[in-house]
Amino acid sequence: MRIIIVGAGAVGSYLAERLSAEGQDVVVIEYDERRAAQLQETIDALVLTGNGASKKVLEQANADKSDLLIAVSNSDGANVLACFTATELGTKTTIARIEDPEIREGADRLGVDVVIDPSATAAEELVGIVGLGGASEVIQFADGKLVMVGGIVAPNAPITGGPLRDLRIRQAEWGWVVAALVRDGRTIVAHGDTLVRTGDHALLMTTDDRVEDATKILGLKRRNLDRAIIMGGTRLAELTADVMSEAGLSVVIIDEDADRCTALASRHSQALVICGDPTDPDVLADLDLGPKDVAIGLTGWDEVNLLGCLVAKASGSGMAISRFNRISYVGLLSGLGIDAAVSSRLMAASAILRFVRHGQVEQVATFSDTDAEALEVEVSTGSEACNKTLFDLNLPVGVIVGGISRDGTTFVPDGSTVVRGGDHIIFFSLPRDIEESVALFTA
Amino acid sequence: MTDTEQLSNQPLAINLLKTVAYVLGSVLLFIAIAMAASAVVSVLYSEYETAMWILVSALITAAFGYTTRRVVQRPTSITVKQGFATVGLAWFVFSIFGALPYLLSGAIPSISDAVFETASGFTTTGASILPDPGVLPKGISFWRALTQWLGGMGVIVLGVAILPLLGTGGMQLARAESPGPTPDRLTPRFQGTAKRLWIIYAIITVVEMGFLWVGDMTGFQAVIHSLTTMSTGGFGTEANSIAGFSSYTKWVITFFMFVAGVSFALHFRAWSKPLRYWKNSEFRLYSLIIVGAIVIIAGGLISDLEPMEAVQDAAFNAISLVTTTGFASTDWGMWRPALQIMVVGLMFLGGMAGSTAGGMKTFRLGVLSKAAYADLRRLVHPRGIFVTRFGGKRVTDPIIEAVQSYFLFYMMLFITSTFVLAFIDANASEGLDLVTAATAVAASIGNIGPGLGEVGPAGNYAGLPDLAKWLLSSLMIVGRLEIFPVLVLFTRDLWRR
Repeated sequence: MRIIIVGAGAVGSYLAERLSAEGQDVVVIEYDERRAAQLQETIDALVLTGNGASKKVLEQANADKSDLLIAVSNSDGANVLACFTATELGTKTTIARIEDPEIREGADRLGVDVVIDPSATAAEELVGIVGLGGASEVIQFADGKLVMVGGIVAPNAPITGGPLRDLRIRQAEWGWVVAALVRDGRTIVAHGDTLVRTGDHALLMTTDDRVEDATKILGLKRRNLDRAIIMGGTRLAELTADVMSEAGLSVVIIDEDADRCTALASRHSQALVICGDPTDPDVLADLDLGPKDVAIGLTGWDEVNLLGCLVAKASGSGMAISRFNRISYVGLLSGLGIDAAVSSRLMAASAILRFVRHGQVEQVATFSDTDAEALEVEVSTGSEACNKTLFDLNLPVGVIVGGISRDGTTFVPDGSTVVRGGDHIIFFSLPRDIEESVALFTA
Repeated sequence: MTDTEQLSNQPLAINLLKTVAYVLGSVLLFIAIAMAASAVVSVLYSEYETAMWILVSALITAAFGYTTRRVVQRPTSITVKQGFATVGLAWFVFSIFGALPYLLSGAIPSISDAVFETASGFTTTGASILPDPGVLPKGISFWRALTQWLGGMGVIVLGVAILPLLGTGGMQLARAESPGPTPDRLTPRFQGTAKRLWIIYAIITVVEMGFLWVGDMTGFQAVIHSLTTMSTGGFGTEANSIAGFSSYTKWVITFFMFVAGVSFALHFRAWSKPLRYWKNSEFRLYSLIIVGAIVIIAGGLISDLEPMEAVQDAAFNAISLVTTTGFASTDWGMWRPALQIMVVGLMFLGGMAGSTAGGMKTFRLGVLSKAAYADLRRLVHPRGIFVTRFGGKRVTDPIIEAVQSYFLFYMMLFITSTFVLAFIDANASEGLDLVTAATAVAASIGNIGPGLGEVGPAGNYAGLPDLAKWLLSSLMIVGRLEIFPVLVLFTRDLWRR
């Protein structure tokens, strides 16, 4: 597939790297010369310097022969214009990231086929993390019936008690499987003889009614949180405030700007809006933070979010989650003083990857600290995998099947499970095996 | 278990050696296939014993390649620096494997000589230790030409074109092997670019074969000379290079040497739109340098030769030197001294970036002179802002710095190596004169082949001491890979975690 990416910011360069490593023909258009040169050094893609909305540059990028244009520059207007021009030139499909909901309306008439709004997805994930307390990710598959739970394995967690094969026998009454471990930056695809250690970032697959057991086996302590302290008055903060109140938590929003606070207070009557510096210990002290509070740093600045979270933890908050713009912080800083991290950019990238794979792949989840992905595909009748047991399939070593959804029932399979046509299969895969395994189930 | 883990956290040196082994594994398989092809040529000419020995060499090479590919796992990712180092190390290793057919068949019995001939082949230098290549078995002669053809566009680039060698890492490797500062991209992915470059290279080579075969060359000679013209290599089948062939043949080779000195990416782009050649400023500068050199040499020769002969000799040898091919239609050593100095000067220039030529490359010469001119203007207008432009595009400071430091390294390498070569020689039985030592070094770094004096077109490198041959073999590889991929091996940062 020929893909043009406009804007080499966090999302754009992340996508360019992922897609080119997968073997797609990628052309990146970036306005900043230095950033363009830097990117060209590291990825196998063509990087053009120029304005991605200009007809001349898009022609140079062969927009007429491209299948997809992804506009993820930091300007909503430039993104829409790039999609418009590319559609005029003959690009088949366009995706734009649009932050402002008012611009989003009517964008389809301007040649934007798909709008990505990462904030909404990020808010959903935040609720998942808060709801479970202690988990670093909660990703839903098969309409929410299968869940991937990620977390840092606690000392003396039941899962550290021997090879996974033995543990599966001991805990056989509920369906679960460890997909992978991330240890010291390395991804280990779990097998029967794998030993889980304290401090590993474990990704575990189970059905939605067993999420509680999953957190228990990882040793994650469930905290009953009843108040969310949201730092910053961004759009993501507002969306989060809404979903948190819906989830039954009381909400406090702290923002420094007095005018914005007034606007926030008029829009969110259920929330307590405080005007002050979210990193100021005095401001937080007034709130009497306790173990049932969760602090969520959602301002536009990574530094402020991290500092605010650290101050909140030091002031007694039970949990702290920070949002980062720089994708690499998410994996690097989770667990170091803050309990979890989210990135709306990473979510935008995941949403776009999902779209790129669309047709064969129903759902894609990407992770902050590994290049591996969790994918959901529908098994086509007549594919190589159809009517074979998982054991006989000889899946690549970098692949592990985590769940199957069949005729409304969901379960975690084992080696003797027979794959049938129409099954929704959820598997975890290292990047090099993604293509092969998708083909196995769908070709 | 380990094969399911990503190995990015290992110490650099281990990851580097793994990458080298992995790349070698693939490249050695290609080299083995090329050897097998040479064995087939030997069989066609009924040289059964030679064929057998070439086949044995192919099997040894393939066995090594296959085993390393089996044993070493695919490394995950490599940095630009590691890519450079990998290519540097890999070239040294496969120059040794390439010597097997010479050694086993007995065509070149000494190890130093055989490795010298192979390095000279892969690097498209064309320097030889053979007094008369005409006595070689046909299969060995073909292998000799084939090493140049493979080395011209790059064995690793071929690997990237055919196998998706190392994914993104492949691009870093190919960059280190491609002549010129940054390779021109014909497609978003490097694999596509590498494929197109190799295809156009092969097509032009076949066209040249046709033209040569029509003239006074035998089919075999036409094949050999096309392989070594397009790679700007310069190995031939005759003791006196091209001198004995007809005027038609000389003009055909002159034309194709010129073609080989042009960027192959430009050939690809200009395939349907020939005007694009002239629109390219590097091409214009390259043509200008060549025309200038021809005029000066022809002017110097005209008093001794017929006008047509003078123009022919001037054009052939000037293009041969600028493109670093190293064919000779006459012995430059017999020219008047002023022209001999001209010959030495031309050895440093080189063809366009992205061609198969060695030397400094036209792009760098253009940037160097423009940057120097900008410096000069800065003296006159201390507050002026001067931007160096080449081909209508701004050349950024990092590129100018890289070009200047390349020039510096090139010259330092030339001077110190000349000194070292003279020193090695002072301890040998016979002494070499300065002209021989200096031009042997210049012709090796620039991948030209023959120099002046004892190593001139009429002579060869056989008389040099073994140590000198090893030094020159290394210099050829250093020159072919444009210095940095080899020099980076000597930096401490590379080996430290």
